[in-house]
Amino acid sequence: MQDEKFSKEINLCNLLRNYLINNNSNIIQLVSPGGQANLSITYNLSSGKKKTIFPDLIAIFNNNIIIGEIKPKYSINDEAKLLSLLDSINASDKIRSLINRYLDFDTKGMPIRMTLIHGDEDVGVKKIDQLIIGKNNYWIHRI
Amino acid sequence: MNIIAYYEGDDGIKDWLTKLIDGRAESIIFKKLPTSNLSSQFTKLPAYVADILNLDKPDIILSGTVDGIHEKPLLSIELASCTPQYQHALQRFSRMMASVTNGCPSVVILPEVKRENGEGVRTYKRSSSILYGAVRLMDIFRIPAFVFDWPNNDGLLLNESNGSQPALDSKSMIELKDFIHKAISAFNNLDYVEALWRSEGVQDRVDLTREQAYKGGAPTISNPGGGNGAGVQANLKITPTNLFLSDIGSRSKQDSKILALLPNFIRSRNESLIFRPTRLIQHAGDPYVGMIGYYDVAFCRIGKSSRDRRRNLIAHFQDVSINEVEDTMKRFNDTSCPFSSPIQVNNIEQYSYHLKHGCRETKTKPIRIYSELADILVFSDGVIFNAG
Repeated sequence: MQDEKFSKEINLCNLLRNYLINNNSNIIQLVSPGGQANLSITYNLSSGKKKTIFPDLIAIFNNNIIIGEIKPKYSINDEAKLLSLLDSINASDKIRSLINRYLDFDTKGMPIRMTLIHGDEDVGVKKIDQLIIGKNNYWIHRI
Repeated sequence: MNIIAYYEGDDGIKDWLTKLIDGRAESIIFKKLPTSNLSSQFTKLPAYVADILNLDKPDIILSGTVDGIHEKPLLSIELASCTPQYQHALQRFSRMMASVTNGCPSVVILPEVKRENGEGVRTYKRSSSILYGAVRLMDIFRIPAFVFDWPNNDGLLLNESNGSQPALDSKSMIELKDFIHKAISAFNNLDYVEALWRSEGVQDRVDLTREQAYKGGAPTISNPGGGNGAGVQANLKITPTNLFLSDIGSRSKQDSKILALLPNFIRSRNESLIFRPTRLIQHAGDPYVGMIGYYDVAFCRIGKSSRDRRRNLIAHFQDVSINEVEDTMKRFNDTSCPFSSPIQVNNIEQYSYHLKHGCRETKTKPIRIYSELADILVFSDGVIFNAG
């Protein structure tokens, strides 16, 4: 069962990786099950409490900064994680600082899109983007 | 020859490995490493791969086959992009140890320096302990065990474009590529590992590893990280074995009676190295489960078998009850052991595997590691020893 779950998630990562590469993206971090996240974001929640997350995906895609969480199916926990970044008082500064340091260019003005990546076509969410792998492995980008 | 690559992760690893091997093999067959030693996939692994996974799981295990039927280990690779201080480095060392103790040369790719993940303000330097561990493994087993630098620029890791693996155009990865090509060239020899050990440049790398390991002072029991000891808070001490046994035996009649059954190979060692883990099962036993192997190789082991020790290796748990072992093993027997269910299509592979091997390689990891490596486990209310 565990192998099956991992294999679905890895398959999704492989499809995503190909999609991003084919669309001239710059993948900074893409973590699949069993892989190690190298980059993290430490930010303050709206309550002021400090939190650190290791995003599954950090990439520049269509001139946007994408911070993504990946699961084969929609995950309410992933949505909450991304919303907490969105609501944070300083997460976007931290994200820019991380990417500026890593890519050595200024991302000022480049939109940051919190993105849920999964395989549930029927799910609708507010405030954050979705990159959904539909039937026949076509990607649907919902903003 | 054909290479079989057992790996974990996404296709990025496949692309990276293919470039690293660079056409030196007739083919590369990629197979996934099982996520759990209890899975049916685990039962289908060649014995040497299963034996490596018994102690720990490197990211990649390469094997070679000439006839397409029989395969033997070529090399394991651990991709460690973590900050490289003492505890982090030693948790990766256990993958190297798992590999080398099972006859498979090993490589860990670990940055020499890395900035902290979050703010990137603080920079961590690699602990020389992992290099010392590698040198000790090579001294004992005469099998290559090397640490290659994960390339970095001022502490920021340099990866392959659009990947999470180290950049192949860097100096250290060019050296790794050369080492892998040497391994492939040596593979057709009857004694592959010895042929690799004698390959041109390999002894230079052994010397370099030794030089780096001893630079700034070799690790000792009082300073297991070596160098200036910064950032290391290990709780290790040497005790005369008879004093330790009498101290533990005086706690209860049960402890005393159990210790009276201690095998002679443990009792006869004059000294014991005691380390004090604060957990066994919780948080998968981290970081202690990863470090016991280093304490063994660095300070106890004098030969290939865990019988060959100059001093006992004792895990004296702090505030951990022996119930953790009993409860975990009972739960394993009740829920995970295939003998707890009738033989069915969906468990026949595990059932058959357990008939032959028992649960040595399938039980919960921390218990597996401690029962393989420690001579005595001391809990707040009980004692277990290695029966030999």
